[in-house]
Amino acid sequence: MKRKLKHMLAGLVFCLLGIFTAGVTLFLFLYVFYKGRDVISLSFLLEEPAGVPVGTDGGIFPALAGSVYLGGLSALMGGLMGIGCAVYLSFYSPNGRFRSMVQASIQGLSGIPSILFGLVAYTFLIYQLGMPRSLLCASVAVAAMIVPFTAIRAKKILDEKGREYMSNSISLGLSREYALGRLILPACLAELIETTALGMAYGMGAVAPILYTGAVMQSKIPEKLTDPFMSLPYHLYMLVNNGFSLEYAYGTAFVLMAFLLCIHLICKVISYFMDKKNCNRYS
Amino acid sequence: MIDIQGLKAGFGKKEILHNIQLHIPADQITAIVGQSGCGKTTFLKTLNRILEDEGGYIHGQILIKDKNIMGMPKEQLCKMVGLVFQQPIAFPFSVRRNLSYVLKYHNRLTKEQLDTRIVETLKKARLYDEVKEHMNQSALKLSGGQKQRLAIARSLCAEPEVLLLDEPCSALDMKNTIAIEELLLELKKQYTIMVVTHNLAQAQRIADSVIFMDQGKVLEMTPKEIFFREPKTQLAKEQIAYM
Repeated sequence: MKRKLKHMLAGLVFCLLGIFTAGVTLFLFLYVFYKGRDVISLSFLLEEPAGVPVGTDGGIFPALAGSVYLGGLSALMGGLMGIGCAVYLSFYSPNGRFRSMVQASIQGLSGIPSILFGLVAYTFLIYQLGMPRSLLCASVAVAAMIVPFTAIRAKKILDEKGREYMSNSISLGLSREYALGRLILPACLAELIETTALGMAYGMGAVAPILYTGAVMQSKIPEKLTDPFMSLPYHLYMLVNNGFSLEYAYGTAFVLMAFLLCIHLICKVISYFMDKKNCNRYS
Repeated sequence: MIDIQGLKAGFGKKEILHNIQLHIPADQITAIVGQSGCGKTTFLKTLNRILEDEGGYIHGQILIKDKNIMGMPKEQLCKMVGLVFQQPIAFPFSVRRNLSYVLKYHNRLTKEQLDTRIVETLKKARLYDEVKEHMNQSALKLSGGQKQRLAIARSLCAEPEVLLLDEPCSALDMKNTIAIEELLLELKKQYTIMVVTHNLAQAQRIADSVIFMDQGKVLEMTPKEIFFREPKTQLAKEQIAYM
């Protein structure tokens, strides 16, 4: 009887915690949407910011485009580096001090506050190398931030799926590169793309690394990597921080949240279809 | 065929195999038996040095056809000494591609030659009749016994001289066990085969020689008939008595 009661109580507590988590997410979405409902429209998405101070009228299109550029570029750099690092740790590094050092540095990197990535990128790229505050500098800072994110997840994927494939392939006299290129990476591709895209979403939502390195309050869509750019989280930060317009800030926040949610959903869909394709890729 | 002198192997500071000396003759099945944890699988993994890939070390001399494998490039060695793991793994491809994946790496073949080699190898592995209608379907759908024979077929694609099998029937039912055993008896005409098994009855059915191991040492290596009739050690006697 006592055991049954304990079981029921535990079930109830965990169920309530689950409901609470789902409730917080839903509340956040609904609250942000409610607060920004008057400004959210198609023109808000497609127009440039206007008004005095800027951002109190018009739309957020350059910030939306800037976020996509930043996310894409940093995911490309950070994703490749992270996956490369995971491949090294999973299949190339012998057990030893260097491997432990690389692993420890990845773990350490994942715990560094994001503002530090911005600060170091600013000091090194802009102050010391003389590069302009730009999309490129901001992407480098964000890429460094998402490297541990992608490396840790990619290593888990490769260890789970790829280890047996690799040892079986080596025992057939095949090279590691052949096994990686023909078997392991194609088999893990869907999950690796999903990881990179999640890293992209993580990077797109960050303000601190782009604060000093490239984001500005108003600019056109960047045409070159050396152009400054607008970004949704930075735009939101400036609107709130300077007290320009809470309504426009909530509108921007809702677009940012919906956009990140869309990336997650697209990832899931891509992953589902790629897994299905992998299962059907018989010959 | 295989001469082993002063073989020591292990992980880090832990030595698992202690000073093993052996001669394994060609074209026969040698069963490696012993209690769990006695070092059977570790010993098998020294013969193609895959133990090193798992973080282990190997010291001593292992000669295969008078060539010291310690100085041999790993790819060449693994091609010469195929290893079939305990858990049968089908790669996430079609049955056909599971074999072409290996054949294409080791050979330059036209499509016709490739198809011929695939059929020949599947026949050799006694799998062809069961999969000939499903060559382009996923190998993941094969049964455990079929996957094990596919793994053996994949190993044969590399044209090895020695075939190592780590408990190939441990997860199989009687019917599939018999199929694998018959296959090994057929294959021993062309390959030197070493099988790790904890099943003494299986060793009695298929092996020509038996290596009996305990605590990382080879206690005896004798022809099967002698091992089962007059085991030298008390431990072997006890295990045979419990068969």
